Amino acid sequence: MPTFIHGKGTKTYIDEFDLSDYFNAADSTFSVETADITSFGASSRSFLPGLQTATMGLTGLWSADTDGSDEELNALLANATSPLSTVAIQAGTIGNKAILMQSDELTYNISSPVSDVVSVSADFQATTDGTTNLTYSGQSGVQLTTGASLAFGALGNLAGVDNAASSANGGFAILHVPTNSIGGGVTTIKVQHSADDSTYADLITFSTVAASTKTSELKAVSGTVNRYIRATASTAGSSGAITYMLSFARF
Amino acid sequence: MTKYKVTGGDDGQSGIEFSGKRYEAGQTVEMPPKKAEWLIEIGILEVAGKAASESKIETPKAEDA
Repeated sequence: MPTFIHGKGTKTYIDEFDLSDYFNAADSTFSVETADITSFGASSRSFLPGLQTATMGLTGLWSADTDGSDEELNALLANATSPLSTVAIQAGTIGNKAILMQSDELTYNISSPVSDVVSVSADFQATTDGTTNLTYSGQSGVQLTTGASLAFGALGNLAGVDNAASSANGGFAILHVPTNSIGGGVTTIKVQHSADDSTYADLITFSTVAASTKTSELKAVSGTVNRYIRATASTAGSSGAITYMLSFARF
Repeated sequence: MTKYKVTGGDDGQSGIEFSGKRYEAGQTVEMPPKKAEWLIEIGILEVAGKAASESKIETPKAEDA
């Protein structure tokens, strides 16, 4: 029997915010344009796949909280910097599915019905935006962290995720740091890859995360990504804790 | 066991972790050749002393006509 996953465990991150408490539906669509190459004599149409694209729709609850749904969705509309988002399906387990996207917010809708709660919805269009090595800006990947808070002394290597084989076309990672109280030094977060789940090499090194600073970043790589990937973090800090969600998608 | 130098990879700053120990770019690590194969392939390791020994190879001088 197939294994099905309930949607209640989904988490949604946009830039340096964990907005999971505000949303109750996340819809991601991946599509490819096709050119009609049907010629005379054909009995049915033929198509040639072309450019790929992805969109995302978020639906949830309106809130005027600081860093809440209204403040963030308002700020992202026509933002000069394309926001980074991760939809973590059945979040909390390393290796579970994640949908990573760099996208522009196209619409922001607020619904205020007389007989129901005030709600929000927003649509996003993925864009590569000229980012180096970013072949696709919306892609399915894997979660490399649980999204749980880690004390400064508990950082280190997380479990490797097995892709069963290496891949040759690079990939990209999105990092969200929604809470960070680590004081006294910067935190370094990396994606590493391995051929044997024993010896690991750095694949992506994110910009250092300053003390007590929330942030987000996308980094893309080209070339070989080996069979296993994992997240690792270290800090020069001496107190506090950090929550980071890191996901990686292969091209 | 063979000695390898960590090259730093494409960005020149990438390191590796082997046997629970971290090796940064420029450092030397000893490991079985079999384990090092894929790391050499992705360009993050090279046999230690390789660059030095290559530079010692003299280019044959063109003979005077």
